[in-house]
Amino acid sequence: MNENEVPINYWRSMNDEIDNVLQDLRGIVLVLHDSMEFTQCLDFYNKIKSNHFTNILYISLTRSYDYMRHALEQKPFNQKRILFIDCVSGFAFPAEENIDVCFYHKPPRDIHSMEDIIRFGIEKTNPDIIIIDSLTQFINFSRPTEQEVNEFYSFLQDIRKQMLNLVNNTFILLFDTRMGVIHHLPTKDIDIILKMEANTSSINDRIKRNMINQTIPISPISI
Amino acid sequence: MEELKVVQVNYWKEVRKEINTTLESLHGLILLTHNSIEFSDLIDFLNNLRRNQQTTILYISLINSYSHIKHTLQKHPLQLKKLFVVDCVSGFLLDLPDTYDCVYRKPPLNLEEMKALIMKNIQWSNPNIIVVDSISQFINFTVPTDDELRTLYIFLRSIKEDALGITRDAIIIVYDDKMGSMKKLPTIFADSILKLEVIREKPEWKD
Repeated sequence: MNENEVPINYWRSMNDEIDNVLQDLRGIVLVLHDSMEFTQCLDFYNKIKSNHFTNILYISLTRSYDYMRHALEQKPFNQKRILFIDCVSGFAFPAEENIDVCFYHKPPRDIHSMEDIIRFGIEKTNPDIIIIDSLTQFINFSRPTEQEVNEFYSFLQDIRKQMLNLVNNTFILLFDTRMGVIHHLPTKDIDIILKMEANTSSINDRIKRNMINQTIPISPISI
Repeated sequence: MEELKVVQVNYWKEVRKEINTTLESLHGLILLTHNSIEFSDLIDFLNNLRRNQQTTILYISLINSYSHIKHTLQKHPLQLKKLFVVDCVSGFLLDLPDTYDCVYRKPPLNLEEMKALIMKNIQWSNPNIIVVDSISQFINFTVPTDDELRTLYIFLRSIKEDALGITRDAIIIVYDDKMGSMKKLPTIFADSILKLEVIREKPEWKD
């Protein structure tokens, strides 16, 4: 790219093929989302390797285990066992509060201390899928400093060289795009970058829409 | 605070590494959404389509005048591509005579008129690729009504059936999503949906 060219991020809609893509998802996957809640991401997690039983290690820097447990009671995982490392309540809970599906841990100081937490989780559960929620604490892709970028790439290289293997074969790195436009996507050492955009509606919207649809009946399109 | 329910999630894959293959094999009805790209960015995109083939493009413009297009093409030429323009911008304001590569027409008032405009100008230019820039005037994908969606689906289906053929094998419908992110994607009738995010601000670092 020359000096005058403006960078362009190219995205292709995957709505029709997402189930197949997620069924065989492998490698280091960066998932961008627009402030989606844990409950809103559950369908996405459920689709990953949905054709066989999997172990998930979920390292949470944004939501407490209590919150996630409650969410999973409402909407359980299919064919998935999940172990949480809760780095949110880890501030308050002592180590002896550990229960068999969740470990409490202090939040990592930086992205490299995150590696120790991942190693700890891998030793405990030997997961197929590792989800890190999220990178937003460590880097802002809108305005990253050179040091942040270098540390991030070094983190990715460590994951690839030291942790990614035949069993622990899928790393999902979540990033919340609420910080602003991503000026330069980190394509090095990432196998696939996905973006999720949630289409939400409030109860009021749905009531209004139903009222409109009741007033003006619209025939379905025949294909 | 009012509770928000997820109605649908749109999934996108970043395709920069595979963009040449993606664009080389682009056929059928393509919805190209963008965040207010310039015409020069669109030329870059078109240059990447069928790179090594002589291609004729019919560009139906509701936002760029022919004089702006000509001026931009002097700086950013189209490689191996012949461009025919239907200028619905100047056609709205002035009574200009048609030229060999541009006709001036009044802007269509709805998608039905847009279809008629496309069909009429196919005969004149015999293109391989048709670009409609843009349909943002006719629909807002952020909050589309059922009626708007229905009209759009009818339009997409009918141009697919009537305008696509063996040599005329791609129709690119451009949509500017500056109004907000697209909530309803017309996945049934579009063969591919692409999103271009142009980053105008200079990045502070590079890979």
